[in-house]
Amino acid sequence: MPNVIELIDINKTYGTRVKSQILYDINLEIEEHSINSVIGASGSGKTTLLNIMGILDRPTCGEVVIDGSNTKNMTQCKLAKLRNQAMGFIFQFHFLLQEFNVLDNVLMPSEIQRNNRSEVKERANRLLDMLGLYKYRRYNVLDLSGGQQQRVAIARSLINNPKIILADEPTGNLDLHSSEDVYNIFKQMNKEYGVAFVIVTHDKHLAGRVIRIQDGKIMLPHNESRIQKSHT
Amino acid sequence: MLLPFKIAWRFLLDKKLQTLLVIFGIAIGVSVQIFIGLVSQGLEKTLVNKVLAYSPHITVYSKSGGFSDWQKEADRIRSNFPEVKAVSPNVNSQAWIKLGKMTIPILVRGFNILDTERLYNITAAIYEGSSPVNNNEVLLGKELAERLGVKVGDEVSILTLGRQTATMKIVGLYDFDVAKINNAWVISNLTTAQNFIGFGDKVTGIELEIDDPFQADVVSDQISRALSGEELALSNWKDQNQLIVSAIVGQKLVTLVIEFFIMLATIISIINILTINVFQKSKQVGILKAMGLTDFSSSLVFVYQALLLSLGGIALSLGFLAVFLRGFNRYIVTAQGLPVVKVTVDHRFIGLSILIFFGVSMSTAIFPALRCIKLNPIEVIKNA
Repeated sequence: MPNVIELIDINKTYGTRVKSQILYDINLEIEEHSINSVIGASGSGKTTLLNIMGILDRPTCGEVVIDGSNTKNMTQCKLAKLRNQAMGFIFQFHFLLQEFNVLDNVLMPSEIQRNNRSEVKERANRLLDMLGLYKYRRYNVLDLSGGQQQRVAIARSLINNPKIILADEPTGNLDLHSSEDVYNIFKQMNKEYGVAFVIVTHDKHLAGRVIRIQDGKIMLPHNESRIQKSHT
Repeated sequence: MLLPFKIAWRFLLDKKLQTLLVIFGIAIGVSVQIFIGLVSQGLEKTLVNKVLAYSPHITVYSKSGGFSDWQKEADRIRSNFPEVKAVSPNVNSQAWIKLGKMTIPILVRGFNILDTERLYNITAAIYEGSSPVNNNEVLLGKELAERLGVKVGDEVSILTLGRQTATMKIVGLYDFDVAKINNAWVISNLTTAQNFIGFGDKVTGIELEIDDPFQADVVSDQISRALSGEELALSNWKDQNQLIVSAIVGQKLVTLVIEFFIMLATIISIINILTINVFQKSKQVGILKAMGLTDFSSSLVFVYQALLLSLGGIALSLGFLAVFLRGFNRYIVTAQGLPVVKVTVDHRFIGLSILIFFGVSMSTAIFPALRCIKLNPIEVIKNA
């Protein structure tokens, strides 16, 4: 399988006077159609790693290759376009736009792409239908439950048909039942659309390949394992 | 371009009360600024009209008392100075009017009545009778006629400074709404006045009215250089009313300063509200940037907000302005019910004021837009 993300010798240091290194010599490949869980203790660098994968943050040194494109010398504008086209994001607090209704939120990444074609609207409706939200599509997002809001965020992350979805503790704010729902959806989307997932998680809902991170270093290869765990 | 506009619109709708208050604030600021400007213009016009109602902007006169080649000079002024609207040669002389036992001091003023139309518009002021077309015909002011108890068709005796008496027929009565003038001026045609003081073909002066009264000193200098006769001199209303002119200029400056500070306050309020809006919406902007909205597009959101707020404010300000103007002209009136200061709608001034405000307010959007460009989505995600 070709890689959708490659991290080459990534180091990340924050601060100017007092420097604090968060990531050390990370080399990581994320294959297309794969599901990956990033686990580790608080402060181990999981979210920083995800932000660098998602080209939201730049590494202090090292290279990030997204879908074959090296992002090292890309402008902010090109990075934004690449993020919009190749990636979807799901955050712990779903980060929906309360000024827009459910359908508008789902369509937002495609609107950023200036893609207003009817197929996109059909896709949005289909996604909402799959996620059981079709009847709420005209609702304001604040009128939905936490689980429903996270499902809207999932639909939004899929609207541009990305190659990979980066999810930062997507179930961190949900109850057990809703969390299981979300993971089942991820698996379903992976199966139906072939989209790869990198899921930073704190909880026990591990899926696919497990990437353990400790003190800014990836524990490979002996800690890497594939866990096939059923959520049903 | 459409998405930043849509987002800007939704952001404004999301904070309806705040948006309405800002639009209201802008409207008040813009309308008050324009209104003060218009009142200032009206006050200036009213003052100038009152000062210049029955006095010329520029007077050409002879140092020796009268001059005979006035036709040539009048033609020269008419042809060389397009800014001169009216040229009116005239003969003035102090005299007394006598009827029965009454002897009242007057000023005999001889004009070519048609020449005065743009200067004093004597014809329009005649409320009974007609203009003095023939010799030995005069117009009397309302108060003077009442004082003498005369009417149109009566004859009166006028005594010159040389104690000679001439009998004149009253052919009309005028009312300039200024008792001082109505009591003093006895108006005849040019020949009657010339004959009355034995002036032959001479006139005592040429009175001029120009387009912009505030240019009277400049135009006066230009005409002075163009005239041939060395015995001719010019005077203008600005030199003769320096206190009033300095008061008007002072009032204009004060108005300008007030207008500037009102605009400054309005602009600062727009900057403030947009900057606050960037903070309020930083989470949303961060999410949009994370989803791929470029820095330029996200900064456009705040430019469009400035545009929408400015346009909304301007539209409402025109409504306020109409109310202010109507109220001022209706309620700020004299005992006779006339406006104390007649404020008129100057479309050019209003358009220019709005254009300046719009330009300045749009340029202020640059500060929140820059702040938005600097906004890092990571910070937003971290601090959620």
